[in-house]
Amino acid sequence: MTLSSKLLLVLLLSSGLWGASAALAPAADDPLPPLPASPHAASVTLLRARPFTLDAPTVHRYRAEQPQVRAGVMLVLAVADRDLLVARQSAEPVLYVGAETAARVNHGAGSGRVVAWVPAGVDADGRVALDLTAVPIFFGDAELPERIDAAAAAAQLRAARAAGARAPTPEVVAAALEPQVRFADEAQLLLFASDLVEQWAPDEADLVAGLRAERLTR
Amino acid sequence: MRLTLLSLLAAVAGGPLALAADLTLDGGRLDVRKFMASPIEVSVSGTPGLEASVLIDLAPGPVSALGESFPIGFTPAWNIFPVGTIPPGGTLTLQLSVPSDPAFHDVTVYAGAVLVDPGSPSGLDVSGGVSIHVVDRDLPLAGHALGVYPWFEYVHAVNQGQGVELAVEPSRLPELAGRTGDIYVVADKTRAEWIADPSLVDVNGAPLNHSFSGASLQADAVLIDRGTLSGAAGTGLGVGYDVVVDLDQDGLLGGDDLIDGYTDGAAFWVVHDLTQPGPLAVTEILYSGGTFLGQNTFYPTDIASMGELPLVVVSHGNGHNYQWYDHIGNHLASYGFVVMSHQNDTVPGIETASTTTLTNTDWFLGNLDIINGGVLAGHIDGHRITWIGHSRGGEGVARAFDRVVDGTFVPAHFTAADIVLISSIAPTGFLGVASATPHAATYHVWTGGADADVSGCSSSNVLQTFQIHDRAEQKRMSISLHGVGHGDFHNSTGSVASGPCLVGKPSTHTIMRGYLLALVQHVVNGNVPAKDYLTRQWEAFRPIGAPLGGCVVVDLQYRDGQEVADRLVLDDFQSEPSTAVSSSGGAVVGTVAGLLENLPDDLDTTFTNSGADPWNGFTYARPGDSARHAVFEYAGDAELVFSVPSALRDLSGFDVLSLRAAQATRHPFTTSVLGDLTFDVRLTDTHGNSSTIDIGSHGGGIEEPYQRTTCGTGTGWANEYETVRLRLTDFLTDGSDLDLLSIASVTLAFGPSAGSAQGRLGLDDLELTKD
Repeated sequence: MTLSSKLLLVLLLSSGLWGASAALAPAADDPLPPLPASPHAASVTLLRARPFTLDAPTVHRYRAEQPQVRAGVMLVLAVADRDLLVARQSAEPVLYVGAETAARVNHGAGSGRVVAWVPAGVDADGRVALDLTAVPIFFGDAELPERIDAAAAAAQLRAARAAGARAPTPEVVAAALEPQVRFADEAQLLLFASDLVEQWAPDEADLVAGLRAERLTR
Repeated sequence: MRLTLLSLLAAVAGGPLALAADLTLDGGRLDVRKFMASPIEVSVSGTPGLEASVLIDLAPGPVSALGESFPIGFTPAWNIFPVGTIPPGGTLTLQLSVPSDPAFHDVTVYAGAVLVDPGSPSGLDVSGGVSIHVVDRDLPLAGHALGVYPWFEYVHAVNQGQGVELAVEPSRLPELAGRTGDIYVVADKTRAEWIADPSLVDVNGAPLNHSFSGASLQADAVLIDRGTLSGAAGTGLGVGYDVVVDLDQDGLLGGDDLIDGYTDGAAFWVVHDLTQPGPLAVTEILYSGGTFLGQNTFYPTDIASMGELPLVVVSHGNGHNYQWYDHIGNHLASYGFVVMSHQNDTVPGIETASTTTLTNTDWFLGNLDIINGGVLAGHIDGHRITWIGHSRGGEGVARAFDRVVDGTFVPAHFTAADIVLISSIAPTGFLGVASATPHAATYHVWTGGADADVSGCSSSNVLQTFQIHDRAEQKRMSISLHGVGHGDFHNSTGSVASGPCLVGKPSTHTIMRGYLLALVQHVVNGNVPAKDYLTRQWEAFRPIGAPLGGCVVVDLQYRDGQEVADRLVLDDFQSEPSTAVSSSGGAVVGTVAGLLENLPDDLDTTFTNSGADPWNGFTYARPGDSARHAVFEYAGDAELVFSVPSALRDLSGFDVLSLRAAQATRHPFTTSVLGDLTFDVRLTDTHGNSSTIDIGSHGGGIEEPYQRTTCGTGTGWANEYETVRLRLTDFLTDGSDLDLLSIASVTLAFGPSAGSAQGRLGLDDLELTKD
């Protein structure tokens, strides 16, 4: 092989041919991880908790009863077993706060961080009334949340407690709790949540961008 | 000269008793379909010596008069023609020519013979009736040669750069033998344009002079274009061309010239690479109308100069994002569609996802004036809406349609009739027949054989993608892609694939772009050549840039619905539960083994082959669904014969015989030989004539199941149906005497004499249809 041929070969290898080789690399298996067998026992740590109210009520779509919601708590959670968080088209483990389903904002499999909100009542002073030291935050059996009613949620709580799930300690809650805020509607709530996703699960940039799409009004 | 019956009676002068008069056509037929300007033999039989006349009319009888039953209706159009005296042999035979006049197209002429018979009480002897259905000389001419019988495939679509051939079956036009003509390939004209201007201008500058020996279709087939024709149709699909065989070489269409494309469709269309972007620049915008009303919309940048464009709504799956469908948005918008991919609330479940499909469609249509400054206002055709859903979104769009039909959701800005196509990509199956059904909407499904999420395994109904397809009551289609994972269908990271020979995202998107464009052009815009990309075997025909080979294996299903008025279902196994009776009421007999009809639902949770589960691998239904298929096997020559009920035997009005079949996964008869399974289809008429076509004649056969493991033991994934479509007139090739006016049976012949030596097959939707 002449010097010029060698040089040409080097050039080819370093440019198009290399690119071609990469393009010809076979696609690889990337199946979903199996569902963890015992979701109730999985470690879920409270990182942030922001109580909120809504001027315009929304529907809690994560419950069969589809209740109207005017207040709740936005949560940031750390989940050790990320296989629990992988998005699936089949049923996924449902996130609960006590005997209430939580509405997921993100999936969090890449970061291990979940942003979600849970409905709550308000007291006479307009303060969101949810004692996070009283109930565990846990993942329940795989199901479609819109199929879960009060009885089913209560059963999941019993199962979680039996599996050893414990409520966050007062110290954890105190460290996580932030001042209550007020939003006009769920869209504003989710816009706020986009900041949390960006902070805690930065790999979900498309979700953030989607939540921040310019709001059109008349 | 028109005579009257009275004048005939006046000629009666007594005589010997008359033998029964008889009138037949073309050697004994009573009903014929004839091209204009083609020969026809008319035979009048009766007592020798009697004077004969022929009555014609545009309505059949019978009409009773003078004590006789006349086989015409005696409309103002009736006429009578003396034809001569019955010769000593008893039969007077006339060689005539069917008139050539565009006004006669699709006209049926009824006729009967009248003999002056002095021995008859009425003085007349009247025959039974015959009918002549006259059609213009528009017949398929263009296509491609095949290496096996029927030796030629007539097609609608030709990929740009591919040659085009012409062929005529000599037995259909015997008068062509020995003739020489000029073959023109011309720009397509409508029927009215042809009548107004019959001049012939060849697109290549000059016609091709060709002589027809009449020896055989193969001998007379000729290349009429080497691939020079343009398929540049702008935002359309296909540039149409007509083909004329100018037999009198006068440069005009007329007389006994042949034409393909005389109707308002072309003989064939040349189609560019559908995988490539269209000519229009595309604008992409991102905005939100509120909670779960985020929308990513793609539209032609110059939409202000356009009319109303069809709308495509994309509903993503769980954990997916509405910004992950650029490959769909950019591609379709470049061809003149508007694509709106929306934020889909899938985590709670299918009902919630269906709500966001509905609310986003409604919000979009109701707020065009504020989206991007109102640029879309007045430019969206709200009556041509396509819903595409992925995963939970794929089931969600079916659920959404069901809610509109059931009235449980009343949209403000559209109705069910405005949803002209529902296409589900790897849909889940949470809800079942009562809630996730497309009803009578045109429905389509995409399945990835390597899907590691909605995997297709029989372990759960939730994972089975074909169930909604089989609930579709009317037009339905599918595309199955071996080696394609769940995530390959969107344009973010991750294939979510498991299995051998994975295809990957780039090739999957290439396939998607080409096929999806054909799908929406055909269903939404009524494009004719696009249908070829939905029905023809992928191995033989696909968009120019679409891959083949390596890991790419594509199976297609296609079934017409009520939009095709003429459709005869011979057997879809939906009624008559006995395997001995078809759903059309005809007898079914066969020598195949283990013939069963039932719900196409794997009875256990694996694809492991088991004698206890004759429906192994079938994932098309669940308990409560109404779908019914047949399954059987063979290990040598065997047949399955479907008798055609006597009232249905005239198949001449149909164009295509269609069926769908699937190899049964992991069965020893399937795994013993890995490859396409083929068999023969044989038509037999009431006279005992038969003609047979190998389903593999057009390339391919019934695909081997995707060689994926798990879901039990063994190798092979879910049973995948493929639709086989055979043109009925192809059964007439090589001078077959088959009489399409009187088909007695359709036989499926299996075994080494007919194709693959052994196999186990699912079978469904055996029907005749117009093309």
